[in-house]
Amino acid sequence: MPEPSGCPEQASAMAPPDDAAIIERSVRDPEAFAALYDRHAAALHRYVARRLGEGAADDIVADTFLTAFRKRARYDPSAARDARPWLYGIAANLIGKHTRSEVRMLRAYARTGADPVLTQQETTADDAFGRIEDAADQRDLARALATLAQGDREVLLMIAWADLSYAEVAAALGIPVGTVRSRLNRARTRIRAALGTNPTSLHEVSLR
Amino acid sequence: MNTAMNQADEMERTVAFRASAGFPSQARLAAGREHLLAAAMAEQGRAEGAPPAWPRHAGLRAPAGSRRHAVLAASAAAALVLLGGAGYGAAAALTGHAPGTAGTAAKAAVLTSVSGCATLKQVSGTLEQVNGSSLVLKTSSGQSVTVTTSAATRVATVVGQLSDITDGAPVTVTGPGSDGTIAAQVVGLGNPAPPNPQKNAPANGGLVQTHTQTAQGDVTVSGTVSDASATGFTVIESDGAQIPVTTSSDTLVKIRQASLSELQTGATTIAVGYAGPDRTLSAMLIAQPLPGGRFMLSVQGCSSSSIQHAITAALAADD
Repeated sequence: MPEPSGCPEQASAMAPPDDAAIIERSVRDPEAFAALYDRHAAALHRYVARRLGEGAADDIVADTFLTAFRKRARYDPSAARDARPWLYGIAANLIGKHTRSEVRMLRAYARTGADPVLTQQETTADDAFGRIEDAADQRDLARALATLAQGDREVLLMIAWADLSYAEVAAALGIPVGTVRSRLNRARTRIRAALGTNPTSLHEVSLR
Repeated sequence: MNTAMNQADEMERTVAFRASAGFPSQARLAAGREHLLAAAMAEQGRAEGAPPAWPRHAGLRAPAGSRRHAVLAASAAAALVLLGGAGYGAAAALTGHAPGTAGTAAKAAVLTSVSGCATLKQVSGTLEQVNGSSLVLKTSSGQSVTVTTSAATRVATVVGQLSDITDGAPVTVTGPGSDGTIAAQVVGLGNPAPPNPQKNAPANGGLVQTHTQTAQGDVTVSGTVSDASATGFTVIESDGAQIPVTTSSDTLVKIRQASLSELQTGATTIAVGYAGPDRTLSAMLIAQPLPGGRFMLSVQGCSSSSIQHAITAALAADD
């Protein structure tokens, strides 16, 4: 992408650069990469913290941006102007190293009703009250999430929590969109069953 | 129909699971950003083949080992930041389109860290223009910095007008006292300064004990404005005492809770906040200090509460 003539700061003041432009610019001006951090770090941190707790999220987000920074010259701007699939893909690899920890925490929650992830975090009294109200559902859900294959859980949570589209999840994980759909379908079927609804009967109902 | 509802319910429940987990704090994010910038700067200047200086596991949390110790020690120390007028600007104003290698070093210095919280940045310069919710400062080296504001940004200026002093306004008045009257040198509009026992001393002209007096003999009183006129007003203190105050063309009016429109273009302006992309600063505080004077901000750590406390104390200060 050609550099606009004149002062780049003035140009950027008129229209905020997209992620790809920031990454391209950061190859020449490494400091510019901080803009990508400003744009995505909070949401990525929250996503990882919901899965593994704040302590692990600190490290994973730091490592994600460090890895992205090192690989920025290889980013293909023609593939995606939005860097979220790229960043969440890097994070997914790092989260994958914590699979056992994630499953252990989900099982602990399902067993005890005390969520080891949320107990690490500051929550309001209203949050706590809401969690108590939904405790049974939440424990069932935690149990179901713990039984999912890592790949299925990754797809489900990227869509549910990171708000990525099927295509973006596919790009993030380097898999076909069809695989995303099948993994998501498998994950949701398990979740539905865990929440007390028989997927077979649902299917029969839908045929009427 | 039921199927669709149940399926939506199942997905909604998944979405809601652990939704009470919040976003990370600004301080947490700012710390991670600081490390990213450190890596970027190292990348710019390092020798071929040398590893980046962004330490693993140092992104959003205090680094381990001795560095962690240093960070914690620095946070615990009470650091006094003096943000002066023109003199300070020279120290802070370095960056932008400076050509060649000087540009990199300059970029690192355009927004300098506030002692006591390295992630908090400061810049000083002449206020060039106010554009809606943002403003542009020009540093003494001629570089422009865009300062953005939000509803939470605190704005203070000493370039108010005597006409800004109206009945009912909370006020702090400083000046020499005589025969029970204060000749106002500085009138601070807004919440009064918190009590400072070390400053209590006998005052002049019957303004005894309940008032504070500086080493120069100036008296400070706080209260509410009454009977405001072109030549003065009366301060009604919390105990009901009435202190006459005279004003003159030399009286400086300091607005502690100003709006951006009350800032004076061309005046030295200080902004404190978090660095953004492209030479911008997301401001928590904007202040126009006394001409040739200084603005004091004492920061003791990066937590939101400690920064807010420092800002409130700085804005409530008498000078």
